[in-house]
Amino acid sequence: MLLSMAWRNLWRRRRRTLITLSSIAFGTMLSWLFTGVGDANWRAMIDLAARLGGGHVALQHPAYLDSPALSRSLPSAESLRARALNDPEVLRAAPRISGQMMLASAARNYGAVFIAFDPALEDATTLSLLDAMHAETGADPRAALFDARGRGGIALGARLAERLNVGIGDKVVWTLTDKQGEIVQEALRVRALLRSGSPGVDGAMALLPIAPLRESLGYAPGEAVQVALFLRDQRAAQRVADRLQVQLGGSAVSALPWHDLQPELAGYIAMEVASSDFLEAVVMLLVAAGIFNTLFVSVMERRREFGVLRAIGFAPAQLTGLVMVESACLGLTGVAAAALLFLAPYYYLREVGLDISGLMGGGAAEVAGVALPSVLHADLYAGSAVLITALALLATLLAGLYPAWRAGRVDPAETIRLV
Amino acid sequence: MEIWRTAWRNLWRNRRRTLVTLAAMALALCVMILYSGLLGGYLRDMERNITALEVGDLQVHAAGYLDDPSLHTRIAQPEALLARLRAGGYRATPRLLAWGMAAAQESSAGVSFRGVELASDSGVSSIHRRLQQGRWLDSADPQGIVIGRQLARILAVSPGAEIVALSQGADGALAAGLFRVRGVLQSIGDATDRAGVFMTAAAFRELFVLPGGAHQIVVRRPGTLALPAAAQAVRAAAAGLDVQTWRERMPTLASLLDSARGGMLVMFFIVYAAVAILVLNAMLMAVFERIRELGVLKALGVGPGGVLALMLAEASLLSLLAIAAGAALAAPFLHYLQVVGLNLASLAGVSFMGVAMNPVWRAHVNAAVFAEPILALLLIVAAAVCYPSLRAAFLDPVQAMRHS
Repeated sequence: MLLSMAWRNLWRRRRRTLITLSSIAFGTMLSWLFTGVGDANWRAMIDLAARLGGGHVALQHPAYLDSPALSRSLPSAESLRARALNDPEVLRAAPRISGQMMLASAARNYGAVFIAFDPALEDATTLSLLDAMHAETGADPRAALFDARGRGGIALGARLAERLNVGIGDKVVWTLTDKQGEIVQEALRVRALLRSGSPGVDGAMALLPIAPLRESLGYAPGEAVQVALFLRDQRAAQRVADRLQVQLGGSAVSALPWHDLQPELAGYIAMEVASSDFLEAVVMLLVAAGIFNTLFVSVMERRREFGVLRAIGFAPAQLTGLVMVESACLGLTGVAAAALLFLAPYYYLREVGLDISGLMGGGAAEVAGVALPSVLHADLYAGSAVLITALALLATLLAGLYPAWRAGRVDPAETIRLV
Repeated sequence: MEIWRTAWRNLWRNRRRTLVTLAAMALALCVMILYSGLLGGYLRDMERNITALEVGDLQVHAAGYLDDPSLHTRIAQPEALLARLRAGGYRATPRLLAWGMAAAQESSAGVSFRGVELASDSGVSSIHRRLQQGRWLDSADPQGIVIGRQLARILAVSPGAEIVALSQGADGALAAGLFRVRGVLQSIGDATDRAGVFMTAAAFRELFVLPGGAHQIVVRRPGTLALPAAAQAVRAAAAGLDVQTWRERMPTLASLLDSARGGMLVMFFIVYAAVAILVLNAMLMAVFERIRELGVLKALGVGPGGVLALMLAEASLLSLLAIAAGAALAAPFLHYLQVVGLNLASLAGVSFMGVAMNPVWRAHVNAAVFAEPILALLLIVAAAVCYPSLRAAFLDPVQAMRHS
């Protein structure tokens, strides 16, 4: 009965209730959308960062993070890879050798960041640079790194190749410090170019197959600097890293989640998430103030009526309960309205996305070397949706507390006399 | 005058509701003022980092150098141009640039060598004050170099360590030299952090066998001169050379910074939309509570204009109070953000488009920081009070008085 009374009470002032509902719906929908865009955005950036190198979780020598020298390798990378793949949350695992090298052509020399990968184990879903790789033949870019006799070549960022004044088929010489600290050099043929639009890639990256490099560096077969692991869901990174650290054990290898490998990116994302949470909290607070206003006025208007109810035997707790139920009805209806309003823009953002590349003047914006998505998508995590809904309802109920308490406190003898 | 007194009294007939509405408006305004101040500070710091640390306002290169940066493509007579620029009030410094390899005990890395003319460079770039460890270059120590922080990590070196520099000299022979790390830079930007090796111009010329010329001239304009005007003047002074502003060198970043203000409008809209609904509801309630009284007013001969004026006066008083409260609330926070700032130590070294963000984020305070959020609030309140005020103005007195 309380429920039907509360419901009818709400609609006695239709316009006011509708306006209040619209503010709840607006605030809730906005929070869903904002968080949804954030969830999708950060996941895209984290996945991209993982595919640029390192994976969601990386296995590497414990000292490599602080001073990445090629002498700090994992001699048993192959068996670590096999064991990591046993973990149910690990989808892919790829051994890598990466670092900095100097590249020289007859005319010039430049520094480059290199990644040596196993073409049999990787594709663009683990190494995004393969998407940017353009070989002369147009064949599978991974196969293109090898010539007819199976000898490995190198792929260079297009701008880097331009600066070195080399093209596909020309030779470049790389220089590196090997496992023993000796300087080694080797000539390789350029077999493909990388064109991604990102200055960090096009101007400074080199890709090469891992097997020949192992030989040149004095690595054993199966040895690598890093095993990059790719997970089903990036949110599991810390958990998987902790678990693998225990399972693989020992001091010879450390398992690091992406946010330890790329603390700058993690910091940036944390800052963005905090600021969008703050904005949502402010909007919710404003919505709650509106609800408080409405409920409070509606209680003051009905003092006489509450007095009558008290006189015919309603307990104060029942009147308080009545107003609380009203506020709960407001909250639930508001959230339901929010869900209706939310569907269309969410569907649009999820399936089509909002192209914001115009804001960037057609270029690609990068944070900590990772490109920001140029099309905003939304993909709300279920957990985020539940949390926001719960907070919206909680805000409504909290805003109703004081008016409800006032409703329970009316003095029947006094209020009945009110005109 | 009378109308303002009435409006003031009306406002306080329902004290609690007015206070809640006021508080919500003030809070929204306060948040927007702080946000606008922080954004202003961010934009200022980014631009400062771009112009004062690395790029300068303008850069001059020999024609064709940017497309094909060769050791041999130089500005042949930099001294004459530098003298002309300095006479025009510009600060300018020549830089020598080359690429090669740096090797330390255990590892090596491809690096970008930068020869710096110490006397003029400190007037152009503040990089000499951005050291994480050790000290900046000194002409008395030609073997001393300063390197980027990521490079120091990759090479596992700190001040005092020896580094071998390898490259190809202008004479085509191997250029090799032994240097000692004097200092390690703070985060400057991706390229410098990862590969920057700074040395004195004299040491650079000796290493690369390069007696004259410069690859780049970094120019800072006089503070009073706008960037396009400065670019025009420098282009006139540097005939035959390639002159670019930092905006032309970093077009994506420039347009992102330009559009950041647009992003603030979205924030304004969202927060204020919530305020608008609140104000709309409060004013509507105020009208319907008083519907009989308004009917009496009209029956006594107050025209629609009079009632409208009364409602608008109430809304204006409410807004003024909210603005005063919001600005007063924001002022101490803003002052704190301006003087102390937000410590982003956890973000140390994060770069946006390759340009480092400062470890401390400070707000920038000027009139616009207050004016823009206040103006936006007034607009939104004006929109929100339209309906309730018109509703009150065009009441039918007979029906209104019968309303129970």
